[in-house]
Amino acid sequence: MTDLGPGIEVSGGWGGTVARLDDLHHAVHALQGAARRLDDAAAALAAAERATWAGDEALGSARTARTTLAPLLSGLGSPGETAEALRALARSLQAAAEGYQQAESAVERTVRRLVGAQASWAGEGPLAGPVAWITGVHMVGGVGLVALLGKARTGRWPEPTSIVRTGGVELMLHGAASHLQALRKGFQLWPRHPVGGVAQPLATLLRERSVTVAVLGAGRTLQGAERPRDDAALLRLIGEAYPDGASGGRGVVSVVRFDQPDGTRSWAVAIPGTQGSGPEGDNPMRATTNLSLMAGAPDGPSALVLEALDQAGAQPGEAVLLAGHSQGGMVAMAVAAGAVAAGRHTVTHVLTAGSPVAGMTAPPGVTTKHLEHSTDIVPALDGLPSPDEPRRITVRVDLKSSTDPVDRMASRDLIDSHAISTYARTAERVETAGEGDPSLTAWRDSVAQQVYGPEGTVATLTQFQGSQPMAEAGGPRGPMGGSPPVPSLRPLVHPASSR
Amino acid sequence: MLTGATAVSPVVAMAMGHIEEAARALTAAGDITWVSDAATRYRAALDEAQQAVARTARDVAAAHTALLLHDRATAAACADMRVVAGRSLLDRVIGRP
Repeated sequence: MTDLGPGIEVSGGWGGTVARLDDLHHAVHALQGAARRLDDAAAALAAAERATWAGDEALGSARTARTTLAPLLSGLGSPGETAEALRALARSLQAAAEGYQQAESAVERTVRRLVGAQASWAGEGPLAGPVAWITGVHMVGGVGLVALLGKARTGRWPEPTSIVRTGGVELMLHGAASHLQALRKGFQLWPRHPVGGVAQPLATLLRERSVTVAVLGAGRTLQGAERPRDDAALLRLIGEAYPDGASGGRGVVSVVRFDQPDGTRSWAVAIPGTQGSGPEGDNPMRATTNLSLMAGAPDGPSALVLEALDQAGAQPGEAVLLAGHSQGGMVAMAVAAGAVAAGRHTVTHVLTAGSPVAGMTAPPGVTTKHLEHSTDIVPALDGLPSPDEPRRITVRVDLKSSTDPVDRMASRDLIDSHAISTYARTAERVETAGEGDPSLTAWRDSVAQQVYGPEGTVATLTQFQGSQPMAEAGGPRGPMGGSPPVPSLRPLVHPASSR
Repeated sequence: MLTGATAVSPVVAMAMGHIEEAARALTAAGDITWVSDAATRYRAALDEAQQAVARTARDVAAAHTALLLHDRATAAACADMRVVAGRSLLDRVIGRP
């Protein structure tokens, strides 16, 4: 499959068939528009006929005019009939476009399986080591060659985001991870989640450390526009919890308690992503945590979130929405699985933004929504496409097509494409554009009813900070790896958030 | 069925405008990258639709011409009637039989 700017090109599968699906959809709209104009014309002609002098007293010119109008009002060739024919053509074209879309998904799955199988066979073979090196050299060389060809053709170096956008990175990772997993002991063909499989042995090298969690200050009531009512507001809350955010710090999660007018309580947790910290740093949201999450191993931020919910007073049966950006999205999925399995908290919704969560399973009863920018490399790092399930909504957004020039600029940069501020804007766009989409409206209504509550709901924000000090290694552990809160959090708190 | 006091041709001119817009939309609907047997059939159907719209446009243009004449004739007839009515009224006023 090749992405051609705003359209999609499907090649293979249906031998010799090439279609830009975007063109097909535009043509459907054009046909429907033409049919509407013809309907308008038919209505105008009918009005003209009614307004023309008729009867015995009519002038000769009136009789001539009515005779001329008569065939235009009904029957073959009339605007009304032609409009009906155009609508039928639009329906057929729509059906063809949908067929291509399904075929494209099938082709993508087949290609993925073929790449995975080929890479696995190469890994299982006697020349696995040399093949790995040759493959690596070819991959690097291939990317370089593609870049050189692009430069020769257009005079510019291709943007890295365009390689991500075509799905090449995801496929390459899938193939490379399948190959690497096949190098492990035992016969391992067609692994379900090859990147996760490769991460597992690496994750075991990381030292497991307990998490200490402390509350940061008293709860603050979020009033007026501050009270979260949609996805964008939650993503902005995540942005604020980052170390460089308005009220953030290292390893900080924000917990919002919603006290609804009828007495019910619900919760939302905003979980930031990876934060600058070396492998031995004490921030649970350090980079190496990504390995643990990808491998499905125990991780610090999940323990932090569960502990934060416990300390905030969340009870089983009270709806919980977990929202995470980047690594935070993986944490949200891991917590949902853990909490539901343990019956500890009632996670009803998970919202992720720019997170590689396709290989993570959503537990039954949990509805998930995943926002992904087509130019963001991070969601592609799991080497898998998001699963297509009734309770799992993936919204893939092309920033290049945004009306906001800031978004279009962001689409050229891997960092900006992944930024939480860009995702917050995207969430707003999706909210507006998704009015007519049944999946998105179902999500919106469900979250509004179960979590945000009606007008009159009081939202209270409390922040919690987690740390994994080295001194705690090997010490006694609490539930989910947590241990009693340690008061010395000063070194972790961001200077901007001293309160 | 009216008295003829209203001009009908502008309504038909409006219909002509709609049909021209429809013709332009159909041209846009043909501007697609699609190669397959189904695409060939689609283009044939689109050609037929464009021809049908072109025929309709010609017929409506003819109707418009006829209605322009009708409007002028109606206007002239109304003017004549007003003259006759005026004379009749004047005759009554001055008592001429």
